[in-house]
Amino acid sequence: MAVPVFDALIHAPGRLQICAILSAAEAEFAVVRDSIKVSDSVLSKHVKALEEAGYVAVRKAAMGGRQRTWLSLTPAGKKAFVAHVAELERLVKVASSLSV
Amino acid sequence: MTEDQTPQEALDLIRSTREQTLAKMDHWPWWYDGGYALACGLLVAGQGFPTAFSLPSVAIALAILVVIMRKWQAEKGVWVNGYSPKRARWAAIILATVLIGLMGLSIWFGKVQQIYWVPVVNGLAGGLLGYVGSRVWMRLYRQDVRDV
Repeated sequence: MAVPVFDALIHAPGRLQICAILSAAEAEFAVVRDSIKVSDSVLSKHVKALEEAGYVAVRKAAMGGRQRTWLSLTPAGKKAFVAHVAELERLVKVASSLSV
Repeated sequence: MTEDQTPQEALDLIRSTREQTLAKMDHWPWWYDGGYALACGLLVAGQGFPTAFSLPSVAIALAILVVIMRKWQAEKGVWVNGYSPKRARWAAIILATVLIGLMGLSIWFGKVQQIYWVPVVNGLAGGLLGYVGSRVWMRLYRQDVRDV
């Protein structure tokens, strides 16, 4: 069971979606961009921020004669995302117990 | 979606985004099933035959696995290591263990006892197990992904 920790870097909607995708699978840059419906430059900024925090790893791979960029969560990124989700779930429980 | 989303909204966003990712894996190409089953079958059956056959069969099986992996990545744009998700990991470990057991049987009956029909039957069983195992793995992976 992860210790709940709110992570402001992950919580921003675009970055939360990136982490949601990458916690399920390694994904190509274009797939992530299309899934979260942002431009290349916006996604690059989010990825840069997550990469600098050590949460996302970027690798280049030649495929079908083209250079493709693949994104994945690092172990630190997985840990931070799991802790952030645990905190969100804790907050939802607290909110629902207060509203009863 | 704004920066001040509620925790419930954030959890819903995570779930819906992950569902989108899963949707990319809804269409299971025939060549993946066929290639994976063939690779498993070759790995299992090949062990029971003399080295002149067993070594090329391993090389061909590994080449098939690399080709289907790269083709899948190129078409889908997503990839999951079979051993990384929680529950699905166990399907991968059990499948690998059973396949290794079948390889051992192939070696015993083929190379030691020289009863060559056993490795052939084992190879067919290995191929079928590979086909079924990859489906079971995907089902468990989907459950893993849906549990935020």
